[in-house]
Amino acid sequence: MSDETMRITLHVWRQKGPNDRGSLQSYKTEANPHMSFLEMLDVLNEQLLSKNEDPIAFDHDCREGICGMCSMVINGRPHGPRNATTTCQLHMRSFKDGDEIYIEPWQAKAFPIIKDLMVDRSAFDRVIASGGYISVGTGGAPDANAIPIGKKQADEAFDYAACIGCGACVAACPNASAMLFVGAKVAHLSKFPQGQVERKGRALNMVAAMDTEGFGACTNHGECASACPKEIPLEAIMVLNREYARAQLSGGED
Amino acid sequence: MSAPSQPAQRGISGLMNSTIGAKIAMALTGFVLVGFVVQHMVFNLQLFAGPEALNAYAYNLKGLLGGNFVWMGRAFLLACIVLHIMAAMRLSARNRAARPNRYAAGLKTQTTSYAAKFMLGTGIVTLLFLVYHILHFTGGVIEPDNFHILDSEGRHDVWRMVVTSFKNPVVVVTYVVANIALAFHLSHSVTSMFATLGLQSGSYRPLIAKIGPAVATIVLLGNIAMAVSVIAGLIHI
Amino acid sequence: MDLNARIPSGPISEKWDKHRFDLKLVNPANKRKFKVIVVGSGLAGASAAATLAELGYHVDCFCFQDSPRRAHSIAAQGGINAAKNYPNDGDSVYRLFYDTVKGGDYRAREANVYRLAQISNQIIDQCASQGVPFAREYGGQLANRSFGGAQVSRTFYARGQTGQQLLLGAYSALERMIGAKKVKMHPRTEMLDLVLVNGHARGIVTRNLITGTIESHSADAVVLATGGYGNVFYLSTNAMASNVTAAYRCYKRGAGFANPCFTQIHPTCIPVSGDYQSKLTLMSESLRNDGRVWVPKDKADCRKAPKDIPPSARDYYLERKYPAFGNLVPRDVASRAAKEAVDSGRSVLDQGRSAVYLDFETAIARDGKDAIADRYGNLFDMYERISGENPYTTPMRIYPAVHYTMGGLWVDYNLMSTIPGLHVLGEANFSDHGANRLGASALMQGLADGYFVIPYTIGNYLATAKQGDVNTDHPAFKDAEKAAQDKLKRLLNVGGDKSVDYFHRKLGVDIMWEHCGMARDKQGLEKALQMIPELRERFWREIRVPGSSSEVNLWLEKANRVADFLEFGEIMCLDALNREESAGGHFRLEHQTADGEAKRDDENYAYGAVWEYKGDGVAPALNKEPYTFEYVKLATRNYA
Repeated sequence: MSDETMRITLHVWRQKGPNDRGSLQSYKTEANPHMSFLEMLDVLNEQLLSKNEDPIAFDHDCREGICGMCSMVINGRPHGPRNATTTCQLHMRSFKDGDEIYIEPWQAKAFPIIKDLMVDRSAFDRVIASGGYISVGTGGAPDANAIPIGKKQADEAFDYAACIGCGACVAACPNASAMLFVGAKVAHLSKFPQGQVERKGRALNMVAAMDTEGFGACTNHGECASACPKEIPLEAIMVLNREYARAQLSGGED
Repeated sequence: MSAPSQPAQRGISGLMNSTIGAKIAMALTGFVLVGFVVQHMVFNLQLFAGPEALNAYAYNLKGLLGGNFVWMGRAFLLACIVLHIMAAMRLSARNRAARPNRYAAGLKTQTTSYAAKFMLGTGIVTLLFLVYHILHFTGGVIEPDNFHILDSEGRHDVWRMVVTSFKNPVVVVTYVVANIALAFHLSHSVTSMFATLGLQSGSYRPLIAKIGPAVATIVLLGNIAMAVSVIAGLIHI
Repeated sequence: MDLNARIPSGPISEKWDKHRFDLKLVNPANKRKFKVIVVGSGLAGASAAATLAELGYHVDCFCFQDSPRRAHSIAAQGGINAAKNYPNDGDSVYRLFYDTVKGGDYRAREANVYRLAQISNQIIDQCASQGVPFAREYGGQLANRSFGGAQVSRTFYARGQTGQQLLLGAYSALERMIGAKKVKMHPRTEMLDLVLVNGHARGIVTRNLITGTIESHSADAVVLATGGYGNVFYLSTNAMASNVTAAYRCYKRGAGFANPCFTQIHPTCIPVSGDYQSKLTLMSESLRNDGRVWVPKDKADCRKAPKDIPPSARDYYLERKYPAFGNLVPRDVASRAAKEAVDSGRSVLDQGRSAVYLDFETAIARDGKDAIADRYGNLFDMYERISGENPYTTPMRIYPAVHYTMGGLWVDYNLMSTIPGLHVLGEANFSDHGANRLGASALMQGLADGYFVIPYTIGNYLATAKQGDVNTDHPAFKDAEKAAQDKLKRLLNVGGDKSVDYFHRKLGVDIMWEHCGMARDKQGLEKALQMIPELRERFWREIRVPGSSSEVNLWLEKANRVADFLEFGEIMCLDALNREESAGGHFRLEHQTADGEAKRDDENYAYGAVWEYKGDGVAPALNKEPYTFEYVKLATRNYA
């Protein structure tokens, strides 16, 4: 497949640790169009290892677009140029021979950089822990068909529930806001009858947790939804705004 | 429900301390301000109807509620402006802090309009212009000779004041530039106002996306029509 | 080795109820005096950690990912089985039990499988009440679809992301308990060893993957839910970091490892495209509901575009060989048939690469493109992203890949291993799927173990073990910490010139897949058993691990995992060599029927092969748990 070989120049953000300043460093490497983006980096890392240089640290795991671990801003876009595609599912056929590619980590105060392209997204877990659930203990659930839920409603809930928690929405937002992430969870649960019980407390607590983590505010630019690899609709933010206002104005008690 | 480690604040203080609350404050004050801007433009268009219409309107307005209405309105608007600016300052400081390190290669935005990008700048230009505009036509500080003219009925001759001023190209350019800034500001903010209130929702989304640019265009055209008509000689004393 | 499975007496349908009554309880006030360690946060681990915390136990939960939500359960696509019989098509607990034992080629313990089938219905109720967005019918009822190895529709699903939605349900329950400070979560923390005190599992040694710190954690019981070992093959559908280390370390501490050769090769994965390949991507088995598998009848047609091959020149080999089940035969059967087709020279990929077609032409003509998009849209998109081909207009190219491991640590009916206090859940244990797992049963087992089995059985252990307090100052912890530390140091100090991936690929692709993959024989396995120690020896001489152990070091983590795979692979091959029969995913070329089907030997091999560690460089001892079948009649599986 030598005819398909692509020669590319990478400019990769290298940062030893959270307190290091970090800078872009350039690497020349070869790839072919059938490789995934991460496989291209694997090959580069093998080259660095063989030259006794420090390989590039990046987060990845399932490599099938669902675990949400991979996180890179590629040429100024989280997860790269292809819509609805995580970095691990991006293939080199989206680039061409001779391309220069900039690779940076998510940049947000709430996502401190750990090393190179790895960031700490535990802020998202803390936001979920503040209320992103339905409080149902194990056991004692009624028969699943006892709570009928219309197909359309279930489908809409699914659209929000599809969030993989990767953080691309925060990375893409000019304000590093987490409104789409929080909105997706609030919207998902608000669609279901069993989610009604804790509806107000959930919205209030999750927004308070989101603010505490240091995410920015929403200025309605829509970058989050366009960067989302799972195409979570921007409507999630409308739902969150309504749920929050409604909860505050009615005293906040469920 | 097991209690979360830090239960959220409830009520007005909770609302005001949250990012969404601050956004709601911006939206509501913004709603008042854009409402003022639109009615201001609509009534000022009486410039085209001649001195009698405009001067009578101004005279009657100042006389409402024994002269108190204007001052009550001004106080209310001032409060909205102050709140709007305070919320904007707080949010923009917070938003800057939320990303202390910029992207080295920059973000390639996909959906952000120019209007959205420069909200702070267009807001500041609008504020400066507002000060100038008040000093000019409300306080008479900028062109005092022009300001103290009375019409045949002994009323403040607003029509003559405006038309005389707009004969000056420097003044016209100032008004046009300021109104372009205002239009950009409104183009994003009016739509954004609906979104912040959770109203840019469902099938209304595309319609509401157009409201901002529509309001902005109308205000821009209406306002600069007056200045441009004068300097173009369509209105003359 | 004590292999008493502690199966309750009485009729199979009453065993679990009877057992729950017989189990000793810990009273609510005393529960808070016990601490339980849960390793892993997938379906089994997260559901167990959340449920144990709800009961009042102190729980410490560990995962090596940056968040418990990223455990590899998230990648399961197709669905979860339950015997609800909502479609009224004749399903029952007994039928699910029967299908699972039969699908597993009669190499699983009846009592465990029956319990799994019983619990299956509760799982659906639990998940639905958590807000899992299952697919619904227009009337608001839950929808079902059919899956391989069953003639009823009993699979519940959430588009092609059922694992994700179920895991997020368990994750939200876990986060609720973390928020309530009942669970202490340790993300980016990898278990390196199990610590025994007085023969009981009393804690673990971990490495903090951010700081590199080696830490000890003590507890009253340890629950292992660390998934399967499919990555021993290097290329598999598992996540990149999935590994055998935690389970293998428990084996080295005395836990029996059962049936390691039972590995599942999933028939519908995207084929390997080149040497740089890092993992394989599964396309859900649900695609076989509507997709038809074929290769050209004539080898000469293999390079032609599929649309230029008329239906009469296509060999729909599954429909031809298994008319009753057609494209929905169990995974092992479908995989072997694909291999057979490719081995006959009819691969539909060039350059020596292997693939068969999975074609939706008939389904699109019958139901329309929209209906197909509604069912499989996200899978089709994923295929298009990876392959660059549009499956709406040209058939998918698929080939089998390693997907799941039925073998695992041996557990009794209480899910306790041969080490008292060490409980093993989900894919990490060996209990329910025999020699082959049916589609949509892994999610069922993980959640059954975590939500509905361990919460009862661990209480019995805690109430009866009475081991007293132990803290991490105990010499057993210090020794284990030092051993873990030393091993990392040793890896860093080799200073060779080969990367860890070099060795991993050699082990997985050149040895395990070649000799212990879809088809195995004595000669190949013996060769593998000779090659593995050689490769291991080279590994310890030639590997280069950059950096240090006191920082983020992804290459050190990987090397430590691959070092264990290099020992574990040997046990798999030993097990495969010992099992002189073909059963489910274990296909020995020497043992097949005249028409190439698996031939079991119930006379001599109806047992669980449980391997016992006897020391480094010493062959492990084989122990046997005989399987008795009182309810399901042993028969040759027949899907024709």
